[in-house]
Amino acid sequence: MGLLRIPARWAALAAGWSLLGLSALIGLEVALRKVFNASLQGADEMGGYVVACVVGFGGALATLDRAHTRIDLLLERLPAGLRAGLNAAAALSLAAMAGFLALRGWATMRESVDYRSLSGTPLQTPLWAPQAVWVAGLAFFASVALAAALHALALLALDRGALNRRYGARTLSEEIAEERASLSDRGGDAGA
Amino acid sequence: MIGATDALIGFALMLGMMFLGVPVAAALFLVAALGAAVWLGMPMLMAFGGNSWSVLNDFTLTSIPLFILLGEILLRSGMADRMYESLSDWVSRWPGGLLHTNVLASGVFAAVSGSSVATAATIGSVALPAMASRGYAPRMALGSIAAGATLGILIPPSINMIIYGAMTNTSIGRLFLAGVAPGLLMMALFLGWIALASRLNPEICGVPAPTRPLGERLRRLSGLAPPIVIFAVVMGGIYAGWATPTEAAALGVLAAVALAALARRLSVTMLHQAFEATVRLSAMILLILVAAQFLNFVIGVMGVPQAMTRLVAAMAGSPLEALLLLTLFYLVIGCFLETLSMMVATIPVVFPIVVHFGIDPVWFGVFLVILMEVALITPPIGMNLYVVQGVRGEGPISDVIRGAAPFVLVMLAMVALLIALPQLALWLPDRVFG
Amino acid sequence: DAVALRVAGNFSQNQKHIAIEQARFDGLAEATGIDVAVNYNPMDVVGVKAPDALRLLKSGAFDVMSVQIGMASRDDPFFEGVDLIGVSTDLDALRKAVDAYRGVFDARLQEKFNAKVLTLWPFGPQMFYCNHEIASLDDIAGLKVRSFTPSMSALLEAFGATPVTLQFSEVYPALQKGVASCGVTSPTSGNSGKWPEVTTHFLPLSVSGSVQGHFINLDAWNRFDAAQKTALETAFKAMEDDLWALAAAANNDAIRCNTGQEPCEQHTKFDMTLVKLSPEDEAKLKAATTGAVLPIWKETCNAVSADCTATWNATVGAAVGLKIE
Ligand code: NA
Ligand code: NA
Repeated sequence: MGLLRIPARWAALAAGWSLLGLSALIGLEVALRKVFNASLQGADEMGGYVVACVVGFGGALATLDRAHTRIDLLLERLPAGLRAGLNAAAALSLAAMAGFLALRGWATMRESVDYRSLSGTPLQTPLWAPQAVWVAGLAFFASVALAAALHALALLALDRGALNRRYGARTLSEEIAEERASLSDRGGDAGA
Repeated sequence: MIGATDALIGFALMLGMMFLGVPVAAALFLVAALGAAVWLGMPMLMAFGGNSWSVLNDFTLTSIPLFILLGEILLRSGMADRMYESLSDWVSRWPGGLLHTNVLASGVFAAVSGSSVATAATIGSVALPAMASRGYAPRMALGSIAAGATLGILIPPSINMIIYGAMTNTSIGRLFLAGVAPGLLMMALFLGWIALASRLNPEICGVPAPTRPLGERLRRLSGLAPPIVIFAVVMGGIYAGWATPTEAAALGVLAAVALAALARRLSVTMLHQAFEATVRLSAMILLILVAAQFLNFVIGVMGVPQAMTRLVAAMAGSPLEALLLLTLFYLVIGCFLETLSMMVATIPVVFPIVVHFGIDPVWFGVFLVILMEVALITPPIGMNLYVVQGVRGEGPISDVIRGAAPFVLVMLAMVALLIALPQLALWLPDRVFG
Repeated sequence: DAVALRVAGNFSQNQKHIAIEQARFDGLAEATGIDVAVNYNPMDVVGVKAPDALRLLKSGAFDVMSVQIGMASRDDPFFEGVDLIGVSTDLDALRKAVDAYRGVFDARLQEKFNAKVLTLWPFGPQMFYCNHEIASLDDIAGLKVRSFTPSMSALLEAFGATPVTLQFSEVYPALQKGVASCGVTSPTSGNSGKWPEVTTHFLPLSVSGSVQGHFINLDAWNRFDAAQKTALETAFKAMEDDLWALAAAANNDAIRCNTGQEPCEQHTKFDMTLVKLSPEDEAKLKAATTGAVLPIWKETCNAVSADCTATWNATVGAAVGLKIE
């Protein structure tokens, strides 16, 4: 599973750069409108496409980094065996959602191809194009979530301790440790 | 059409799955899929793809990853830390000293960050070592950080308000402006409580920091410049008519990049760290939204919001009674649910009730956000409590809970004020947008 | 057993239209004598987005939908032909165009989306609200005007204006703050959206009628026998007539209310300046339509089906006296 994090990180970085690119595009639109009384007529539309793509391309990394919100109030108080079962169920349920979303996303894109649908905006974007990128992201997310679920199921049979460590809800101390690390990254001598 | 009882069973099923550790997005989706398959037939279930695409294409949602990115860049370029230092120079001699810094710094950080948890983590990491070294009593220190940080979702920008606006078709620009006055007033009430508590009980305060010479203090004020510039760009862009709220978020990102470059903190490594964190968090939030909107689609056709509206209308005779009922409802479930999940799971059902009683949607957005702030610091599930305790890393969590408790009362007083004086929220947006 | 009909209605903001829909659907069983159980919700209440309408009808997710044809044409530009920008400049002309196109429209809908036309009707004339001094159409040259379709952008560019894209919910603040100088919508929609609070000049040049429709999924339709179908058609014809009447009456009232004239009975009164249209303005619109709008539609529509403009020329074109070359 560790190997999957490399492409997941690349996917997230690509999504991050496109967010920065989008900001530049919107900045240009605002400046054009204000200063030159002109408009690109489509920065808003691009924004929608970028956001749609963030879900799939970021969803994979969120899965591997266990960033999908879970409520662990009860979970933490359960015996390890039961907790392992619930953690595996959680991984499965996420894979089910991601898989179904990817399949239905694919069907939506196929319809756009069949109808030759165009965005009803001045850009007249052929809808299949942004939807293809969206579906690629969703397919990647679904594959990662499915791999994680299968791995969790295997661990349920083989090593429940490892299952709880790797697929349990992210504990707060883990999150805080990361916050601390990022503080020291930026030379956190503050607060004197 | 289904009745209120079936709807409540569905709600209980969803909460049950969440408490058994099913990821929030998946729990919302599974309940929706079950409802669609059992009550409405396969075509409704199969609409998930097209529905998700349309939901994500809503331009108002574009601002969510952009505001997160903006906060991440500011954080990773060390601007939050320097901001705390420059504020602490000026309030160290007020009764309550650094305790005021926590609230003020939270308020300033809130003006550039859309999230309370990020605010708590940042201010906590910076403030707690300083407070411990000066001998402040832990409870009050912890409570002031946990509570102060909740301002992050009330003072604009606010991710919770964007989500509320997107789900209810309410103007984000108005919601942002409506949060300003209540946010400042709440900050003042927090400061007032700190001043009062430290008058009554002077030993909660530690040793005052040595006063720095005026020149140095003035020089260090430059630490406040980045958040002020960003706030000016974002809110000024909206106010002056250069940009819509979403566009303003993009301008904020560009300004943050420029400021980081000026501070010589801009690097590809830093950007990549910010991207990873932003995309991970955004994907998580957006996935929850996709699932919540699908649930909205399914239960809307099933008639759940309509049934619940009839139920509440039968129980409450006036808008005031409805609001008291909703306050009670959110206080209770706010103890157990994380705020984003709570908002997306309840808005589809609660908003029709709000409309039914003729309550102003912008005002209700502010009201709801303040109740979310309460939820952030009420046990057993209060994210800010845990974040602050986590940053502290020692001692019992009951210190944080008790320290935050009086602030819950202050927030409830704020809710009462808001009900008594709706203009607190509505005056500014009405002035600006007419 | 009652026949269940799952209905997605128009947008809940359009209160007068919703009221008519709601009343007609509530009374459907009584009016037709058929035992139908209608589950009616405005589309935004159930989270349906307007552009998805044709796909949701085809899949059978909904039995009957109120469809915003401009938005739904995303999946087939042919349908946009019923009300192309600049073609029908008043409701009488629009009704002629709609009736001429209804047959080919319905055939296409049945063949491609497994759905049938029940009603076709307009929101009302789409006119200009500007926050800028305007004496004639010439004065919108150089102004930023909100556009939401390719044809609209082509028209605005032909007028020398700058089209800008904005979400509908952003238009009011954008007009107020000068992000845009003009917005285009019907007199009633603009009035209920309080646009006159943030605009000063009302230009009553109608660029389209914003045609809507009620369509029924064919599988749902074929559950009824011939006599029931006739009864349903009669009932929906009555709803269509209600909605045309609303478009005529309400919009005239709204124009008077927007511009501070009497009688102003069903809308909020404002004091916008009513710009007087000249024959030159009308001519300019016609020229832009033939020169800029129709060629764009020809290209997109013929790309999907080669006989698109030929069909249009034989129907709408013949009715209004226009021809796409
Ligand atoms: Na904020
Ligand atoms: Na809580």
